[in-house]
Amino acid sequence: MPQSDNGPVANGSAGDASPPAGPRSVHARHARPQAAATIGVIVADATTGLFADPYYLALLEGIMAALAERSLMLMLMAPMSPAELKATKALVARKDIGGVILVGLHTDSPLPALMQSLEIPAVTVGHTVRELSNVECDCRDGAMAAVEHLISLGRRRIAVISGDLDIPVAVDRLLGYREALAAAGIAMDPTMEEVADFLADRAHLSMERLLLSHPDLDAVFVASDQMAAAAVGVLTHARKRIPEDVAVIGFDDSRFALETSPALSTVRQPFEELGREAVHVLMRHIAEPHEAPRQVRLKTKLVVRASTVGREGTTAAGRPS
Amino acid sequence: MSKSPPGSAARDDPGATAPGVPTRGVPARGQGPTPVRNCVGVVVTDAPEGLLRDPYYSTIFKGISSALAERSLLFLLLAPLSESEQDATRRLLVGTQVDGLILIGLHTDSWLPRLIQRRKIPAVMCGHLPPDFGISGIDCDNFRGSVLAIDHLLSIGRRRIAHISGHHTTPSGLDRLMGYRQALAAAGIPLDPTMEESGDFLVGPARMAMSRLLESHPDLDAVYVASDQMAVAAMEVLAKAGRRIPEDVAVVGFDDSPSAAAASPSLSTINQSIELTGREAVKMLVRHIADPEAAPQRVVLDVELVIRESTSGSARPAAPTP
Repeated sequence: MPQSDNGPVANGSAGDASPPAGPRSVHARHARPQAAATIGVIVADATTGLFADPYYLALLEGIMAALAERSLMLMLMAPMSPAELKATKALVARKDIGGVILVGLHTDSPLPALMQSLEIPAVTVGHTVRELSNVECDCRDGAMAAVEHLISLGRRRIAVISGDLDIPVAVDRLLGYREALAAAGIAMDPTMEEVADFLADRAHLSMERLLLSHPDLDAVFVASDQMAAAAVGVLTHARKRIPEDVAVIGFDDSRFALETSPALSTVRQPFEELGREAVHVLMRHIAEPHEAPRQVRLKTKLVVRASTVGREGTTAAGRPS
Repeated sequence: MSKSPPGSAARDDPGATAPGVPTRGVPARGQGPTPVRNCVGVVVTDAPEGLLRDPYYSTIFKGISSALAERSLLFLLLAPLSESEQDATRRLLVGTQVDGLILIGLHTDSWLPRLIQRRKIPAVMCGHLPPDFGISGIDCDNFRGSVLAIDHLLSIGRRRIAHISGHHTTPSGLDRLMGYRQALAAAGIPLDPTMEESGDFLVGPARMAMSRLLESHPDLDAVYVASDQMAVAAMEVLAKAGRRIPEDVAVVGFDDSPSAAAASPSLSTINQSIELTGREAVKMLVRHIADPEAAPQRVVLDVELVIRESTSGSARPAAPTP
């Protein structure tokens, strides 16, 4: 067991610059997981502001807590431009990066292939690549639960405001919506589906368009609470009563759900647990590099609030399955 | 690339390949001790548990990351929580040459400033001003913030004013404590060390500090707390103990984070523009990157008092308490 990676550092300042020595084979990193004191986290889609988004904050908290328990250092990178992506590549190529957690990838992201070419153990959160393990919540199941809830309240003209369809979790939420409608025998109508890229101002426009094209809609499922809050604003402005005229349900159970008036029914994502689970799966891959990729799906939970059932009867209900 | 001074420091430079030194030090995949361009490291050496739940950190990161993104610089956050991780940080910093570093929450005894100076890494300390490190720093006026808070409490007639402080080894914690003492002394109120308790900028310790203060000084009529997050925790303890805020005990926090306005009663506090601090730190750093010889700068951002219900609630005392 070569100690050369740690030795020079422990020897004090004169040696602290000695670059890591030791085996050069890329496979060698797998044999010495304990030499890797740092875990990289790459947040690839931080366009909406990494530190303004409760989803990322809670997920990162889970990751940081799980790393701290293992005395591992967090190296968080949020590349936006091509120059930043290049810097990210140089950083993850460092030998003391034991593994990488990839968050918020678009389907065309070069990062999963890069991790494989560098033979760095990697886990994705919310993005399924065949070759890598993935941790996400069961968004399709969660979306189905949301739309089934609307149907159970007697709603039939249910619109959807979806996230960016480059992002797999957004696709899953749209598919869950369609599946629930199909299961209830409600005809699909493509003009009832809007795509809003997970941005509040886009969701605002989407809701306005839906009201114009379908003034009689009686419910809307919105793929994030932040977008749902924008939709609630448009509906209120258009003098629609929520939920009497239009029931609204979001997704995430982030702080936006409680800040809207009325409070949002939503689908709770276990953000911190997702982060913890991602670290757990990554550590297994570091220890057992030849183990096959795993797909981990955590359950969501339907949270019923005033935006679907009015002021009374606000309860949290588990998804019956 | 700037050359290190001769002597031991020269060996300190991973880019220096002295003749006769075997090249075994070159890392795998031909990457070398890589200069990573377009990258700024943000180092939090005192990362508390629940770092991102602390609005101070998430807000300052927001300011830094948006200012970096505007300049196409990669935001790289390093959050070491323990001694062993500090070794990892050291390895990372010496083995990689990022364009520059922003340091947050450094303790006064940190090893980082010396390393940075020796290696001439462009750096800015954010949220604290170290006078003797020869590194640029930006912070809000912590001392003046405390004076504003105490003067406000004095103006509403409070005289038995306790303080829950932050870490005494962080300049912000220390400056806020000093400002508290100075303002009391200026008003001719004798200092009482048992009226000062440390909350370490953490919620749990702040709760315990408030409980201890209530036990030792059941007649206290105000408490000045060095962060909003700790102040909200202190208010919970006061409410549980049956104290009315502000009738029995007035409370002032520090930061003006969203939690201050959301608290019940809403919290009077000292506003520091945390996001602006982060953005300005990036501006300063970019200047140092462009001109490595530029002299270190100290920037102090102004603060202001924000009065809310926790000091001005419906029953504002008309006269000073006897």
